[in-house]
Amino acid sequence: MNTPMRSLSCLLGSLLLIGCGAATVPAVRVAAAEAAIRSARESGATNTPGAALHLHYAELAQVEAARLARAGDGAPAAMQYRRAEADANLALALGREAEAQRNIQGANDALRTTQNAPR
Amino acid sequence: MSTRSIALMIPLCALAGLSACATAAPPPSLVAARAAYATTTSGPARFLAPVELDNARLALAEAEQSFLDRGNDAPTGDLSYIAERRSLQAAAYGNIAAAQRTVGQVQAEQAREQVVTQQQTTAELGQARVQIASQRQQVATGEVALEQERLARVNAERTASAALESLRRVAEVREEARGLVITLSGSVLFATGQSMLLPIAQQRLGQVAAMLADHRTQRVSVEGHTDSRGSVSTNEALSLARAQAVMAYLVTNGVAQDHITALGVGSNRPVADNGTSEGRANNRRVEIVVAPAAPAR
Repeated sequence: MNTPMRSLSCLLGSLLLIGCGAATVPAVRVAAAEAAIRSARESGATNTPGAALHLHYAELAQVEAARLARAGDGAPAAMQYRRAEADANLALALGREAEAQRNIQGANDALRTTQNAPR
Repeated sequence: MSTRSIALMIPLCALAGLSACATAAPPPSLVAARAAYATTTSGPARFLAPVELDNARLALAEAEQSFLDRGNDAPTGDLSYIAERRSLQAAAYGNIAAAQRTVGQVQAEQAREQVVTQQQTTAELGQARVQIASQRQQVATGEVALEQERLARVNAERTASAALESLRRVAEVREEARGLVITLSGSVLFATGQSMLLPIAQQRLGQVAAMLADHRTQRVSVEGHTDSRGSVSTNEALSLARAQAVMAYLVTNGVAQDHITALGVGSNRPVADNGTSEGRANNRRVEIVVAPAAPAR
Protein backbone atom coordinates (compact mmCIF):
# COMPACT_ATOMS: atom_id res chain seq x y z
CA MET A 1 0.00 0.00 0.00
CA ASN A 2 1.44 3.36 -0.97
CA THR A 3 1.94 6.17 1.49
CA PRO A 4 -1.13 8.32 0.68
CA MET A 5 -3.42 5.30 0.80
CA ARG A 6 -1.87 4.18 4.06
CA SER A 7 -2.35 7.61 5.56
CA LEU A 8 -5.90 7.77 4.33
CA SER A 9 -6.72 4.38 5.79
CA CYS A 10 -5.14 5.42 9.11
CA LEU A 11 -7.23 8.57 9.14
CA LEU A 12 -10.43 6.77 8.26
CA GLY A 13 -9.70 4.07 10.81
CA SER A 14 -9.04 6.66 13.47
CA LEU A 15 -12.19 8.58 12.64
CA LEU A 16 -14.19 5.37 12.64
CA LEU A 17 -12.93 4.46 16.09
CA ILE A 18 -13.61 7.93 17.35
CA GLY A 19 -17.07 7.79 15.85
CA CYS A 20 -17.75 4.46 17.53
CA GLY A 21 -16.62 5.82 20.89
CA ALA A 22 -13.95 3.13 21.19
CA ALA A 23 -11.36 5.83 22.01
CA THR A 24 -11.39 9.48 22.96
CA VAL A 25 -8.96 10.89 20.43
CA PRO A 26 -10.11 14.39 19.50
CA ALA A 27 -10.82 14.61 15.79
CA VAL A 28 -8.91 17.87 15.57
CA ARG A 29 -5.79 16.10 16.84
CA VAL A 30 -6.03 13.48 14.12
CA ALA A 31 -6.73 16.04 11.44
CA ALA A 32 -3.84 18.24 12.55
CA ALA A 33 -1.39 15.34 12.33
CA GLU A 34 -2.68 14.31 8.94
CA ALA A 35 -2.51 17.88 7.60
CA ALA A 36 1.04 18.34 8.87
CA ILE A 37 2.19 15.11 7.25
CA ARG A 38 0.52 16.01 3.97
CA SER A 39 2.10 19.49 3.97
CA ALA A 40 5.53 18.03 4.65
CA ARG A 41 5.15 15.55 1.80
CA GLU A 42 3.86 18.15 -0.67
CA SER A 43 6.66 20.56 0.18
CA GLY A 44 9.20 18.00 -0.98
CA ALA A 45 10.49 17.03 2.46
CA THR A 46 11.33 13.60 1.10
CA ASN A 47 14.07 15.20 -1.02
CA THR A 48 16.02 16.35 2.04
CA PRO A 49 17.56 13.58 4.16
CA GLY A 50 16.93 15.17 7.58
CA ALA A 51 13.39 16.18 6.65
CA ALA A 52 12.66 12.77 5.17
CA LEU A 53 13.75 11.09 8.42
CA HIS A 54 11.37 13.16 10.52
CA LEU A 55 8.59 12.62 8.02
CA HIS A 56 9.21 8.92 8.41
CA TYR A 57 9.00 9.28 12.21
CA ALA A 58 5.73 11.16 11.79
CA GLU A 59 4.26 8.41 9.65
CA LEU A 60 5.34 5.74 12.13
CA ALA A 61 3.76 7.70 14.97
CA GLN A 62 0.60 8.11 12.97
CA VAL A 63 0.38 4.36 12.40
CA GLU A 64 1.01 3.69 16.08
CA ALA A 65 -1.61 6.25 17.04
CA ALA A 66 -4.18 4.54 14.85
CA ARG A 67 -3.29 1.18 16.38
CA LEU A 68 -3.64 2.55 19.90
CA ALA A 69 -6.95 4.15 19.01
CA ARG A 70 -8.24 0.90 17.66
CA ALA A 71 -7.14 -0.76 20.92
CA GLY A 72 -9.12 1.77 22.87
CA ASP A 73 -6.09 3.61 24.31
CA GLY A 74 -7.36 7.08 23.64
CA ALA A 75 -4.82 9.16 25.60
CA PRO A 76 -1.69 7.38 24.26
CA ALA A 77 -3.18 7.57 20.77
CA ALA A 78 -3.71 11.29 21.08
CA MET A 79 -0.12 11.68 22.28
CA GLN A 80 1.15 9.71 19.28
CA TYR A 81 -0.80 12.02 17.00
CA ARG A 82 0.86 14.98 18.70
CA ARG A 83 4.25 13.38 18.13
CA ALA A 84 3.34 12.74 14.48
CA GLU A 85 2.33 16.36 14.07
CA ALA A 86 5.52 17.63 15.73
CA ASP A 87 7.75 15.45 13.54
CA ALA A 88 5.83 16.40 10.38
CA ASN A 89 6.11 20.11 11.17
CA LEU A 90 9.81 19.69 11.83
CA ALA A 91 10.19 17.85 8.50
CA LEU A 92 8.44 20.71 6.73
CA ALA A 93 10.72 23.27 8.43
CA LEU A 94 13.88 21.31 7.62
CA GLY A 95 12.83 20.99 3.99
CA ARG A 96 12.28 24.72 3.73
CA GLU A 97 15.57 25.40 5.49
CA ALA A 98 17.39 23.27 2.91
CA GLU A 99 15.62 25.14 0.14
CA ALA A 100 16.64 28.48 1.70
CA GLN A 101 20.27 27.34 1.74
CA ARG A 102 20.00 26.39 -1.94
CA ASN A 103 18.58 29.85 -2.61
CA ILE A 104 21.65 31.40 -1.00
CA GLN A 105 23.85 29.28 -3.21
CA GLY A 106 21.85 30.28 -6.27
CA ALA A 107 22.02 33.98 -5.39
CA ASN A 108 25.79 33.75 -4.85
CA ASP A 109 26.20 31.97 -8.18
CA ALA A 110 24.15 34.67 -9.93
CA LEU A 111 26.23 37.38 -8.26
CA ARG A 112 29.48 35.75 -9.37
CA THR A 113 28.12 35.42 -12.89
CA THR A 114 27.30 39.12 -12.91
CA GLN A 115 30.70 40.04 -11.46
CA ASN A 116 32.54 37.86 -13.97
CA ALA A 117 30.51 38.98 -16.98
CA PRO A 118 32.64 40.77 -19.60
CA ARG A 119 32.37 44.55 -19.35
CA MET B 1 21.36 40.49 28.32
CA SER B 2 18.19 41.98 26.80
CA THR B 3 14.80 42.04 28.43
CA ARG B 4 13.55 39.59 25.84
CA SER B 5 16.21 37.02 26.52
CA ILE B 6 15.62 37.36 30.24
CA ALA B 7 11.93 36.80 29.64
CA LEU B 8 12.73 33.71 27.63
CA MET B 9 15.07 32.30 30.24
CA ILE B 10 12.83 32.87 33.28
CA PRO B 11 10.40 30.01 32.64
CA LEU B 12 13.24 27.75 31.63
CA CYS B 13 15.17 28.45 34.85
CA ALA B 14 12.03 28.22 36.95
CA LEU B 15 11.09 24.89 35.48
CA ALA B 16 14.64 23.65 35.73
CA GLY B 17 14.65 24.67 39.39
CA LEU B 18 11.40 22.92 40.02
CA SER B 19 12.63 19.83 38.28
CA ALA B 20 15.67 19.85 40.51
CA CYS B 21 13.32 19.55 43.42
CA ALA B 22 11.66 16.49 41.98
CA THR B 23 12.65 13.19 43.35
CA ALA B 24 13.35 11.49 40.02
CA ALA B 25 16.09 12.53 37.61
CA PRO B 26 14.72 14.08 34.38
CA PRO B 27 14.45 11.67 31.49
CA PRO B 28 16.99 11.99 28.66
CA SER B 29 14.27 13.23 26.33
CA LEU B 30 13.58 16.16 28.65
CA VAL B 31 17.26 16.91 28.97
CA ALA B 32 17.50 16.89 25.18
CA ALA B 33 14.49 19.18 24.91
CA ARG B 34 16.01 21.67 27.33
CA ALA B 35 19.30 21.64 25.41
CA ALA B 36 17.53 22.12 22.11
CA TYR B 37 15.58 25.07 23.49
CA ALA B 38 18.70 26.65 24.95
CA THR B 39 20.53 26.29 21.65
CA THR B 40 17.60 27.75 19.72
CA THR B 41 17.30 30.80 21.95
CA SER B 42 20.93 31.67 21.23
CA GLY B 43 20.47 31.41 17.48
CA PRO B 44 18.73 33.46 14.80
CA ALA B 45 15.29 32.25 15.91
CA ARG B 46 15.51 34.51 18.93
CA PHE B 47 14.94 37.54 16.72
CA LEU B 48 13.79 36.09 13.42
CA ALA B 49 11.28 33.40 14.50
CA PRO B 50 9.76 34.66 17.76
CA VAL B 51 6.37 32.95 17.28
CA GLU B 52 7.93 29.52 16.69
CA LEU B 53 10.28 30.05 19.61
CA ASP B 54 7.38 30.89 21.87
CA ASN B 55 5.62 27.70 20.79
CA ALA B 56 8.76 25.80 21.68
CA ARG B 57 8.84 27.50 25.07
CA LEU B 58 5.24 26.49 25.75
CA ALA B 59 5.92 22.93 24.68
CA LEU B 60 8.92 22.71 26.96
CA ALA B 61 6.91 24.18 29.81
CA GLU B 62 4.27 21.52 29.30
CA ALA B 63 6.91 18.80 29.40
CA GLU B 64 8.45 20.26 32.53
CA GLN B 65 5.05 20.47 34.18
CA SER B 66 4.36 16.86 33.29
CA PHE B 67 7.65 15.86 34.80
CA LEU B 68 6.80 17.78 37.97
CA ASP B 69 3.31 16.32 38.15
CA ARG B 70 3.93 12.74 37.15
CA GLY B 71 7.64 12.22 37.10
CA ASN B 72 9.44 10.20 34.49
CA ASP B 73 6.47 8.53 32.85
CA ALA B 74 5.54 7.97 29.19
CA PRO B 75 3.56 11.19 28.68
CA THR B 76 6.50 13.19 30.05
CA GLY B 77 8.75 11.46 27.55
CA ASP B 78 6.30 12.15 24.74
CA LEU B 79 5.90 15.80 25.69
CA SER B 80 9.68 16.19 25.95
CA TYR B 81 10.02 14.62 22.52
CA ILE B 82 7.47 17.08 21.15
CA ALA B 83 9.17 20.02 22.89
CA GLU B 84 12.52 19.12 21.38
CA ARG B 85 10.92 18.99 17.88
CA ARG B 86 9.31 22.38 18.46
CA SER B 87 12.70 23.88 19.39
CA LEU B 88 14.36 22.33 16.36
CA GLN B 89 11.50 23.62 14.24
CA ALA B 90 11.93 27.14 15.63
CA ALA B 91 15.66 26.96 14.97
CA ALA B 92 14.97 25.92 11.37
CA TYR B 93 12.60 28.84 10.81
CA GLY B 94 15.18 31.17 12.34
CA ASN B 95 17.73 29.84 9.87
CA ILE B 96 15.23 30.21 7.02
CA ALA B 97 14.63 33.87 7.89
CA ALA B 98 18.38 34.47 8.14
CA ALA B 99 18.89 32.79 4.79
CA GLN B 100 16.18 34.92 3.20
CA ARG B 101 17.89 37.99 4.58
CA THR B 102 21.20 36.83 3.12
CA VAL B 103 19.58 36.16 -0.24
CA GLY B 104 18.14 39.66 -0.20
CA GLN B 105 21.57 41.14 0.53
CA VAL B 106 23.22 39.11 -2.22
CA GLN B 107 20.52 40.06 -4.70
CA ALA B 108 20.91 43.72 -3.73
CA GLU B 109 24.64 43.41 -4.32
CA GLN B 110 23.93 41.81 -7.68
CA ALA B 111 21.55 44.63 -8.56
CA ARG B 112 24.26 47.16 -7.69
CA GLU B 113 26.73 45.27 -9.87
CA GLN B 114 24.25 45.26 -12.71
CA VAL B 115 23.72 49.01 -12.33
CA VAL B 116 27.48 49.58 -12.42
CA THR B 117 27.78 47.32 -15.47
CA GLN B 118 24.91 49.11 -17.16
CA GLN B 119 26.47 52.49 -16.42
CA GLN B 120 29.80 51.35 -17.83
CA THR B 121 28.11 49.94 -20.90
CA THR B 122 26.19 53.17 -21.38
CA ALA B 123 29.39 55.20 -21.04
CA GLU B 124 31.20 52.96 -23.52
CA LEU B 125 28.28 53.21 -25.90
CA GLY B 126 28.39 57.00 -25.61
CA GLN B 127 32.11 57.03 -26.37
CA ALA B 128 31.58 54.74 -29.34
CA ARG B 129 28.87 57.04 -30.64
CA VAL B 130 31.16 60.05 -30.30
CA GLN B 131 33.90 58.20 -32.18
CA ILE B 132 31.49 57.17 -34.92
CA ALA B 133 30.25 60.76 -35.23
CA SER B 134 33.85 61.98 -35.40
CA GLN B 135 34.72 59.42 -38.06
CA ARG B 136 31.64 60.34 -40.05
CA GLN B 137 32.68 63.99 -39.82
CA GLN B 138 36.16 63.09 -41.05
CA VAL B 139 34.69 61.11 -43.93
CA ALA B 140 32.40 64.00 -44.81
CA THR B 141 35.32 66.44 -44.63
CA GLY B 142 37.38 64.15 -46.83
CA GLU B 143 34.57 63.88 -49.34
CA VAL B 144 34.28 67.67 -49.44
CA ALA B 145 38.02 67.98 -49.98
CA LEU B 146 37.92 65.37 -52.71
CA GLU B 147 35.06 67.16 -54.42
CA GLN B 148 36.89 70.49 -54.17
CA GLU B 149 40.01 68.89 -55.61
CA ARG B 150 38.00 67.35 -58.44
CA LEU B 151 36.38 70.69 -59.23
CA ALA B 152 39.76 72.41 -59.14
CA ARG B 153 41.14 69.82 -61.54
CA VAL B 154 38.18 70.22 -63.87
CA ASN B 155 38.57 74.00 -63.78
CA ALA B 156 42.30 73.74 -64.46
CA GLU B 157 41.72 71.41 -67.38
CA ARG B 158 39.01 73.72 -68.68
CA THR B 159 41.30 76.71 -68.35
CA ALA B 160 44.16 74.91 -70.07
CA SER B 161 41.87 73.73 -72.81
CA ALA B 162 40.53 77.26 -73.32
CA ALA B 163 44.06 78.69 -73.41
CA LEU B 164 45.14 76.12 -75.94
CA GLU B 165 42.07 76.76 -78.04
CA SER B 166 42.78 80.46 -77.91
CA LEU B 167 46.35 79.80 -78.91
CA ARG B 168 45.29 77.70 -81.86
CA ARG B 169 43.68 80.82 -83.32
CA VAL B 170 47.01 82.66 -83.53
CA ALA B 171 49.48 79.81 -83.99
CA GLU B 172 49.82 76.29 -85.22
CA VAL B 173 49.84 73.86 -82.31
CA ARG B 174 50.67 70.19 -82.63
CA GLU B 175 51.84 67.32 -80.51
CA GLU B 176 55.17 65.71 -81.41
CA ALA B 177 57.47 63.26 -79.68
CA ARG B 178 59.62 66.13 -78.39
CA GLY B 179 56.55 67.80 -76.87
CA LEU B 180 53.94 70.41 -77.65
CA VAL B 181 55.15 72.49 -80.63
CA ILE B 182 53.75 75.99 -81.10
CA THR B 183 54.71 77.45 -84.46
CA LEU B 184 54.48 81.18 -85.12
CA SER B 185 55.04 82.53 -88.59
CA GLY B 186 58.19 84.67 -88.86
CA SER B 187 56.40 87.28 -90.96
CA VAL B 188 53.97 87.89 -88.15
CA LEU B 189 56.70 88.30 -85.52
CA PHE B 190 59.47 90.17 -87.32
CA ALA B 191 60.12 92.49 -90.22
CA THR B 192 62.34 91.08 -92.98
CA GLY B 193 65.93 90.66 -91.78
CA GLN B 194 65.10 92.05 -88.32
CA SER B 195 65.03 90.45 -84.87
CA MET B 196 62.89 93.05 -83.11
CA LEU B 197 59.35 91.91 -82.28
CA LEU B 198 56.54 93.63 -84.13
CA PRO B 199 53.74 95.11 -81.97
CA ILE B 200 51.26 92.46 -83.17
CA ALA B 201 53.79 89.75 -82.27
CA GLN B 202 53.72 90.86 -78.65
CA GLN B 203 49.99 90.31 -78.50
CA ARG B 204 50.30 86.81 -79.86
CA LEU B 205 53.26 85.96 -77.70
CA GLY B 206 51.23 87.19 -74.74
CA GLN B 207 48.75 84.43 -75.41
CA VAL B 208 51.62 81.94 -75.61
CA ALA B 209 52.99 83.19 -72.30
CA ALA B 210 49.55 82.79 -70.72
CA MET B 211 49.37 79.20 -71.91
CA LEU B 212 52.89 78.45 -70.67
CA ALA B 213 51.91 79.69 -67.24
CA ASP B 214 50.03 76.41 -66.87
CA HIS B 215 53.23 74.49 -67.65
CA ARG B 216 55.65 76.10 -65.23
CA THR B 217 57.47 72.91 -64.41
CA GLN B 218 58.16 71.92 -68.01
CA ARG B 219 61.19 72.94 -70.02
CA VAL B 220 60.60 75.30 -72.95
CA SER B 221 62.84 75.58 -75.99
CA VAL B 222 62.51 78.52 -78.45
CA GLU B 223 63.84 77.69 -81.91
CA GLY B 224 64.38 80.26 -84.64
CA HIS B 225 64.14 79.10 -88.31
CA THR B 226 64.85 80.91 -91.60
CA ASP B 227 64.42 80.15 -95.27
CA SER B 228 67.42 79.24 -97.39
CA ARG B 229 68.04 82.63 -98.88
CA GLY B 230 71.22 84.40 -97.71
CA SER B 231 74.33 82.92 -96.15
CA VAL B 232 74.20 80.14 -93.59
CA SER B 233 76.00 82.19 -90.95
CA THR B 234 73.68 85.13 -91.44
CA ASN B 235 70.64 82.91 -91.23
CA GLU B 236 71.92 81.17 -88.09
CA ALA B 237 72.69 84.48 -86.38
CA LEU B 238 69.32 85.94 -87.40
CA SER B 239 67.43 82.83 -86.25
CA LEU B 240 69.23 82.87 -82.89
CA ALA B 241 68.57 86.57 -82.41
CA ARG B 242 64.89 86.08 -83.14
CA ALA B 243 64.70 83.07 -80.79
CA GLN B 244 66.33 85.12 -78.02
CA ALA B 245 63.91 88.00 -78.62
CA VAL B 246 60.96 85.66 -78.21
CA MET B 247 62.55 84.05 -75.14
CA ALA B 248 63.11 87.46 -73.55
CA TYR B 249 59.53 88.43 -74.09
CA LEU B 250 58.27 85.19 -72.59
CA VAL B 251 60.54 85.54 -69.54
CA THR B 252 59.29 89.06 -69.09
CA ASN B 253 55.76 87.67 -69.14
CA GLY B 254 56.14 84.98 -66.50
CA VAL B 255 58.05 82.05 -67.96
CA ALA B 256 60.81 80.90 -65.59
CA GLN B 257 64.22 81.88 -66.92
CA ASP B 258 65.87 78.70 -65.82
CA HIS B 259 63.29 76.63 -67.68
CA ILE B 260 63.66 78.23 -71.11
CA THR B 261 66.41 78.20 -73.76
CA ALA B 262 66.86 79.81 -77.20
CA LEU B 263 68.29 78.08 -80.24
CA GLY B 264 69.13 79.37 -83.73
CA VAL B 265 68.53 76.63 -86.28
CA GLY B 266 68.91 78.73 -89.40
CA SER B 267 67.67 77.07 -92.58
CA ASN B 268 68.68 73.59 -91.52
CA ARG B 269 65.19 72.23 -90.80
CA PRO B 270 62.81 73.48 -93.47
CA VAL B 271 59.20 72.42 -93.32
CA ALA B 272 58.34 73.52 -96.88
CA ASP B 273 59.91 74.01 -100.31
CA ASN B 274 62.33 76.94 -100.33
CA GLY B 275 61.82 77.16 -104.12
CA THR B 276 58.48 78.89 -103.75
CA SER B 277 57.59 82.06 -101.95
CA GLU B 278 54.86 80.29 -99.98
CA GLY B 279 57.27 77.56 -98.90
CA ARG B 280 59.89 80.09 -97.83
CA ALA B 281 57.24 81.93 -95.84
CA ASN B 282 56.41 78.74 -94.00
CA ASN B 283 60.07 78.04 -93.32
CA ARG B 284 60.53 81.47 -91.73
CA ARG B 285 59.14 80.65 -88.31
CA VAL B 286 59.69 80.40 -84.59
CA GLU B 287 58.87 77.12 -82.85
CA ILE B 288 58.24 77.07 -79.12
CA VAL B 289 58.64 73.52 -77.87
CA VAL B 290 57.15 72.61 -74.50
CA ALA B 291 58.80 69.39 -73.34
CA PRO B 292 56.52 66.64 -72.05
CA ALA B 293 55.77 66.77 -68.34
CA ALA B 294 57.74 64.39 -66.17
CA PRO B 295 55.59 61.43 -65.12
CA ALA B 296 54.03 61.87 -61.71
CA ARG B 297 55.61 59.79 -58.97
